Amino acid sequence: MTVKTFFYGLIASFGLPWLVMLAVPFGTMRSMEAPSYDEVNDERTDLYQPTRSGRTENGSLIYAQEGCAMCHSQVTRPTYAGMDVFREGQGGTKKDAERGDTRRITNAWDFSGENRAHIGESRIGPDLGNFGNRLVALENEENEKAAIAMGIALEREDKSKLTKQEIIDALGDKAFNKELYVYKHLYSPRNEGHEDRGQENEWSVCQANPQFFKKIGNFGQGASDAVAIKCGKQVVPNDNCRAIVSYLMSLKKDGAVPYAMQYSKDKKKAGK
Amino acid sequence: MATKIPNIEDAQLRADIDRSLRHPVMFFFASGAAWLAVSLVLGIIASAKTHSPDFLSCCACFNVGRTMPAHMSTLIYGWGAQAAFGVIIWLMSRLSRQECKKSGIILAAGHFWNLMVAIGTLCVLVGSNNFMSGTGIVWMAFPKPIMIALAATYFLIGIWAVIAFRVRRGGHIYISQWYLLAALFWFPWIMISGILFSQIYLGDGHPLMVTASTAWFRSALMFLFFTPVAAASAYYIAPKVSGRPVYSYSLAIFGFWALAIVGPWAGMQRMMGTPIPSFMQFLSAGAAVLMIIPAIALFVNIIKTANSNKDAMSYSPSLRFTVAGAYGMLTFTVLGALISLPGALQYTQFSTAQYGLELTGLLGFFSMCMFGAIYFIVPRITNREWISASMISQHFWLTVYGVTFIALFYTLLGGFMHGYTLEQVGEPTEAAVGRLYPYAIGLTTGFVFLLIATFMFCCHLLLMWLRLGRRSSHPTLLARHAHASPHGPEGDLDKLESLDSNASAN
Amino acid sequence: METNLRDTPLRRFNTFWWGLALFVVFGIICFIIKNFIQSDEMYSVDDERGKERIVKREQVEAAQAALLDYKKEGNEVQLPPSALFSAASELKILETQPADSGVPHNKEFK
Repeated sequence: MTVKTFFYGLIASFGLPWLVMLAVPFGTMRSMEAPSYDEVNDERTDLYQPTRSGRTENGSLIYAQEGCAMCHSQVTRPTYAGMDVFREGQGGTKKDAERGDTRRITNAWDFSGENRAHIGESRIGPDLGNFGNRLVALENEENEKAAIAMGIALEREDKSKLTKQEIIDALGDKAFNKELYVYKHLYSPRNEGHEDRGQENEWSVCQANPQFFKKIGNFGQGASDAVAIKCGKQVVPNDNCRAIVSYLMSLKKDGAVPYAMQYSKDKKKAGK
Repeated sequence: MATKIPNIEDAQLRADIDRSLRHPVMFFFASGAAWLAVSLVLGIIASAKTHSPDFLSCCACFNVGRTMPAHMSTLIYGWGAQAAFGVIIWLMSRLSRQECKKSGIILAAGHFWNLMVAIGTLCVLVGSNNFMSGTGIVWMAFPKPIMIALAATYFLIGIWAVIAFRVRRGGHIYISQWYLLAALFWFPWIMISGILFSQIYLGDGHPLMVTASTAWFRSALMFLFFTPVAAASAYYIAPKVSGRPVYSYSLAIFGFWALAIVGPWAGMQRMMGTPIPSFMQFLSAGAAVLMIIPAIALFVNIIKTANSNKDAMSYSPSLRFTVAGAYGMLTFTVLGALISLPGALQYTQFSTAQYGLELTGLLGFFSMCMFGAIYFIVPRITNREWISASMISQHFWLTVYGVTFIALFYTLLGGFMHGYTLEQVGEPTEAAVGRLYPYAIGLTTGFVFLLIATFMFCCHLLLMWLRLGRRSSHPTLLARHAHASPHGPEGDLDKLESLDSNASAN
Repeated sequence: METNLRDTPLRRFNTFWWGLALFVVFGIICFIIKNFIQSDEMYSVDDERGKERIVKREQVEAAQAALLDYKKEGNEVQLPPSALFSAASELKILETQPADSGVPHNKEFK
C-alpha cells in the first residue's frame, strides 16, 4: 500500500458515506415539500401546515441549553421502531371527545419553527412530544373537578354540556392555570410545599430549576404567577421561564394529517 | 563492534525524539488526566442526580441538563482528544524516526486547547441565555466559537505529526502509522462536518437533519478518531513489549480498511423511527453491527501477539492495559451491535444503553489503550521510572472493575431492563423511573471506582511530570540496550519486575 | 545512520501548506457541495400558504375595486370615493363646523 493509494482509499471510503448520509439528505430535506390534502379523502385541498403558537424558537433554544433533551424525548416512533403510539397521551389520545382517535406518529413537519429537533437522549422522564395536549387534557379534567366541587352544573337545562370556556368563565379565579402548573413543576418537580397538589410526583427525578425564577417584593395582592413565597418574597418566573413554558405548551404533535400520510385512519376522520 | 554503531545511533535518535517531545506530550497527558478526573466528578454528579434528584439542587449549574453535557465534553475534548494528541505526536515521531522541531508551537497550542475546553465547560455549566451558552448537545456541547477554535488549534497540533510522517526515515510504513495518519485526517473532516452541519448551518436545514448530523458526528468521532488512535497504540505496544512481531500483518491491514469502510456509515441508528429517510437509519444500524469485523481483527491480532510472550503480559503495565483495551474494543462493538439491532433498538434507543455504550467505548476501550501508551511513553520522555507498581496495579484493577460494571450492569442489563419497561404500554413513567433506580446507582458506583483509579493515576503522573520518578538503574538508553531484556531493546519492565518483587516481599 | 533523503526543508514546508490547504479545502468543499446539492430556497409551508393568501387577497381587492368603480345606472351615478372627496371639497360640502356639544374639553364647551 503506497501513501497515494492510502489517500485515495481514505477519501473514497469517507466521501461516499459523507455524501449519502450527511450532505445529500441535509441539502434535500430542507426543501421537502409539504403534502396537500386531497379532495376525496380529506374534503379539503389546501397544504398541510401544522400550526404552532408560542415562543417556539427561543423556547426551543433554552430547552436545548438547559439540557432538557438529556432526559426527555420528543418523538412518537412508528410501530417498527417502538410501541410509542399506543402509550396513552404520547402519540395523541385514543378517544378524544371532539376529534376521535388523534394518535399518530411524529412527522417531519412537527418540528417547524425550531432550528434543531430535540429527539432526545433518553427517556428518563416522559416523552414531551405531546406535552401541550396532555396539559390541555389536564386543564379540562381539573376544571371539571373544580366545577363539581363548587356545585356548578356541567350541563345546561337542555342537557347539552357546557363548553370548556364556559366552565372556565364560571370558575373565574378558581380555573386551572396551565402556565402556573408548569412553573410550579419547573420550580419544584416533586411539589414540595404545594399543599394543593400534594406529593403526587414524589417518584419524579426531574431537576429543580432555580435559574428560571427570581424573587420580587411581596406587594399588594401578590403576583398571579408566584410559585412560592420565600423569606417574605415572592418567587416568580423570569423571562427564560416564560419562554420555555410557552415552548412546552406549544408541543402538540397530534394534529390531523392528510389522508395520504396516515391512510390507516378512517377516511372521513382523516381531515377533521 | 561495527554492527553496534547503528544501534547506538538509533538509541541516540530515540532519546533525541523523546527529549524533543517531552514537554508537549507530558503536558497533554497530565492535563488530559486532570480533565478525566473533572469529567468523572461531573459524571458522578449527573449520575447521582438521576437517582437522588435533590442532591446539590441548590444551584442550577449542577443540574443533569448541564453536568451531563459538561461531563461528556470534558471526557472527549479534555481527556480523550488530549491523550490522543500526546500519543499521536509521540508515536508518529518515533515510528517515522524524526525529532519534533516545533514542540514549542505544540505546547502553546496545547495550552490554548485547554483554555478553550475550560471556557467551553464553563459556558455549558452557566446555562441558558448568557453571552455564550452551551448548545446542550452531547459531544458538541461547547458553543460554536469554541468548537471552531478547537478545530483550528487541532491543526497546529496535528500538522507536525503529518510532517514527521512525510519526512520519515526508512521505507516500511508500519500499521500504527496508517492508523495514525488516517486519524489525523479523519479528525478535522469529522470536526468540520459536525460544526458546519449541526452548528453553523443551524436554521438552514431541516431541524431533523441537524439532529441527525450530530448523531453521525458522535459515532464518527468514536469510530474514526478514538478507535484508530487506540488501535495504533495497541499495534505499537503489543509487539514492542512482547518482543514479537504482529501476529498477522495482513489481518491488521484488513482490520484497518474494514474500519475505514464501515465506520463512516454508522451513527444514524440513533434516529431510528424519526421522520428522516429510513434507509439511513437501517444502513447505520447495519454498519454498527458490522463494526464487529474490524474489532475482531484488532482483538485477534493484539491478543495473539501479546500471548506470544506470557511473561511480558504479567509484568508489563502497558501490555496489560493494552490487552484490556482489546477486550474493551470487543465488548464495545459487540454491545454496540447488540443494542443497534433494529429489533433491539426498540428497547435501547431511549434507554440507558446508549450512554452506557459510549462510556464503554471511551473508558473501556480507548482510555485503556491510552493508559497502556502513557505507562509506556512517560518513563521514556521523563527519563524516570514509575514510582509505584502497586499504584499502577490498583489503577488497572479499579478501572477494570468500574468499566466492566458500567458495561455489563448499566449498559447491557440496565439498558434492556429500562427499555423493556419503557416499551410496556400500560406502565406509567413512574415504573420506568423506578426500574432505572438500581442501575443509576450502579453507574454512580462504577464512576466512583473510576474516579479513585484516576486520582491515583493523576498523582502518579504529576509526580512523574515533576521528575520525581525513580531514577532509572540504567540511566541511559544505550546501557539499557546492553541488557538482555525480554521486553525489547528499551524495556523498562525489568525494573517494574523488581519493584513488583519488592512489593510482594514487603 | 543512513541519510534521509526525504527530510528536506522544502518537503516540510510543502507538507505544512498542503496540510493547511486540505484542512481549509475540506470546509470549502463542504460548503460548495451543500450549496450545489440543496435547492436555492428553503421550503417553507408559510410561504406556500402565503402565496395562496396573496392570490385570494388580490381577488378580493379586485372585486372591491370593481364594486366601488364609476357606474351609471339611469340617472344615478356612482363615483369612486376618491373622486367624491375631491368633488366635495370643490363644492365646499365638507367644510362644516362641529356641532355644539356638552362634552367636556370640547372646543365649544364653556
